[in-house]
Amino acid sequence: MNPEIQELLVAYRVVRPALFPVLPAAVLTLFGLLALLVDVFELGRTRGPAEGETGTPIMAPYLALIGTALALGCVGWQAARLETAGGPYFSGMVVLDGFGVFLSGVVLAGTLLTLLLTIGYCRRHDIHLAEYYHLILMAAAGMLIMVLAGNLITIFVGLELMSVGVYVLTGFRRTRLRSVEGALKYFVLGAFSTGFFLYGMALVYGAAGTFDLAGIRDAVSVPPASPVLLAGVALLIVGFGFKVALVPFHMWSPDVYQGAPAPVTAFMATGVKTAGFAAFVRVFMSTFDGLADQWIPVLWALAVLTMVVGNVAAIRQDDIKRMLAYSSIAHAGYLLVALIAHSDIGTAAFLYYMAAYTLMTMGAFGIVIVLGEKGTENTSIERDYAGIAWRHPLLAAAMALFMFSLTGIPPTAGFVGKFAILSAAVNSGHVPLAVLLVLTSVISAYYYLKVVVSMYMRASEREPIRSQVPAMAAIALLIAVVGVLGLGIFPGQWVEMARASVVAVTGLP
Amino acid sequence: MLTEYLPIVFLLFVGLVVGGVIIVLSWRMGPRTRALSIGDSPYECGLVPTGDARSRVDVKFYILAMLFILFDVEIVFLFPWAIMFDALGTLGILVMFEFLVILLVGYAYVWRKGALEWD
Amino acid sequence: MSEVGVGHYLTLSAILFTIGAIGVLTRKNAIIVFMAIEIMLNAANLAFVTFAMSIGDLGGLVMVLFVIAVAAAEAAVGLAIIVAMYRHRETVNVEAFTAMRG
Repeated sequence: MNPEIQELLVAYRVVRPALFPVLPAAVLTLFGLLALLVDVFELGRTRGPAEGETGTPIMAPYLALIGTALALGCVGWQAARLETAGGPYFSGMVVLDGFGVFLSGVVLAGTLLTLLLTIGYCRRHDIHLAEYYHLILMAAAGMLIMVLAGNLITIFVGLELMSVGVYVLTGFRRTRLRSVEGALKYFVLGAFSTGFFLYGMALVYGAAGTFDLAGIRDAVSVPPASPVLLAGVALLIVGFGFKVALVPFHMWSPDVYQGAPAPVTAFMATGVKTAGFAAFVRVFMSTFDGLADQWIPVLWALAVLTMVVGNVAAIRQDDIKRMLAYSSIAHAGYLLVALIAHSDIGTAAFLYYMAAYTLMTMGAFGIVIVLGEKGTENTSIERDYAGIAWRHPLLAAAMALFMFSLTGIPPTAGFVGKFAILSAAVNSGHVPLAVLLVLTSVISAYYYLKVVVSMYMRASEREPIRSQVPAMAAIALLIAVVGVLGLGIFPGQWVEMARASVVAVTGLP
Repeated sequence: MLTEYLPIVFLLFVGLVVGGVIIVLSWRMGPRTRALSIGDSPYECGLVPTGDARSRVDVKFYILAMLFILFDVEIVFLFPWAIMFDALGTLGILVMFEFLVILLVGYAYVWRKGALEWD
Repeated sequence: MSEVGVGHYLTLSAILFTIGAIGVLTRKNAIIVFMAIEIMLNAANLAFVTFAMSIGDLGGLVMVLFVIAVAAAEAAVGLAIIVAMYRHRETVNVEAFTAMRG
């Protein structure tokens, strides 16, 4: 055999095992690039609706769907082979553990639902650009990298791949002022938070001498902690706080959620939040484990603020996207309580809640998306949602289910998730936080049930919404409904899975 | 030590002296006529400027500049690879190939979208 | 006068970071806000290089390459968003961007 080819084969054998953990991200990247290329070389494009207008990309959405489904399959394969998966991969840049694989699944499920909902939305609002799907796939690839990162550099690269894609997606409807304004606000505050994140990384690097999460863990486990290290940790909290929208770093989120196209908002509320929290929890639970006494009080204060402000501010919102933005801030507070519990039970509760939250938020946004009409998204709770139940009984019932789940009423996924977080918090002695969580959930019932009341008990004063649910969106909604009920009625298996996934993260890496 | 900065201080001093001497000499020895308004124009021996200097720049420059920055900066990753070329071997070539293919997709996109066409 | 050491570089980087952060919070022009953000990123770069040299670890230098690449991508996207905003409002004053509030 040709020596060059032989050398290539040797190189391939070196690379192959390392590819296993990044396979889903690689598949997403490949299909993302394909979607772009196929469109730009006008393969599989139909002629546009009018003369001179660009055609509808009929390939890109399906390529994106296939890519995401394949990536989800790869995650399943990773989950099955988790026991035998050795490491470290890429000199510890990437870790493959139960925690990461579980959240990869959650991120990809969110992406899949986003894509299913997007296709009908794009058709209705005449967005016929393959870039849209390309950006979603690349952002999802960034999320997967973040979720599996074993090194601060990888976290940063994944974070930016995700963020830059989502900035563009937010402003995708560039003829609409709100979309662009949301993009600008998101971009400025996102880049600002990147600055804090990077400076925090620099200080941690200076104190620990490495970017490797395991290396930093070893370096910081020796007390006393240096002031440089503590300053770095504080800046990292600010950076992560911006990304997952904790109060007081949440100012951007209502405007951005309201301005972005509804499927992008759904993607942001689920995928971006999952990936951000994944890195947050991994860094603080395992890497800064030795500093728990220092960061727990800070996060404690942030959790209290986030739960109170998020829930109270949501009450006076009439725009449903804005209401869901504050609701997602409030849920970030609940997730933070799971992190503060600082135990295996807490992390398992976090994983379970993340999955439940993704399904119910995706479902709620799904209803918002299918109720939109050409040219308008119909987002006023008082005006547009009044009397929906009579015209679209199934959609209203599904929306009611998602609202109950977000409130935390049994037998839904939201209830089990909140229960898991509560028991983790009480177990770790954070009774005041648990009490506050319950109290703020009671407040949240007011604005979630307001939607239900509007749908079922108000007469519509406007022209009725004529909405035809696209088949793909119907599938997505069905998945969300079944998921929310399934996780709520038969939680045992899922909670068990979350528990099993945690064993690997604490023994990390 | 501070002595390391001595050459810079010296250079600064020489620059100031030379600049000052030239200005003073031309002021002392030059002709005293301010009557010629041509002396006040931006290009004394060039074309007569027309219009405002703060005119709008064509947005095409912006797109090209943006593309230039993007592709230019990506090349930065080639330098460490080039230095370590021998040590990285075939594996390095493969990985860099993959990186360049992704860049190439970006280039193909830019090209097919017509961003490189001036008219 | 002592040798210019790690402390000096770090102080400079901290000053730059503070200038950037204050710039983001106080300036009105979106492009200047964006420049202030770039100053923050470069302050972090300076800190990375300083720590890398003082520790004797190459990781910090690698990180700087990534930060530069990401900053370029962010610049492209950010300026495009600012241009899109200008087309709507004919201004880049961030205080004028108030289509949504509450």
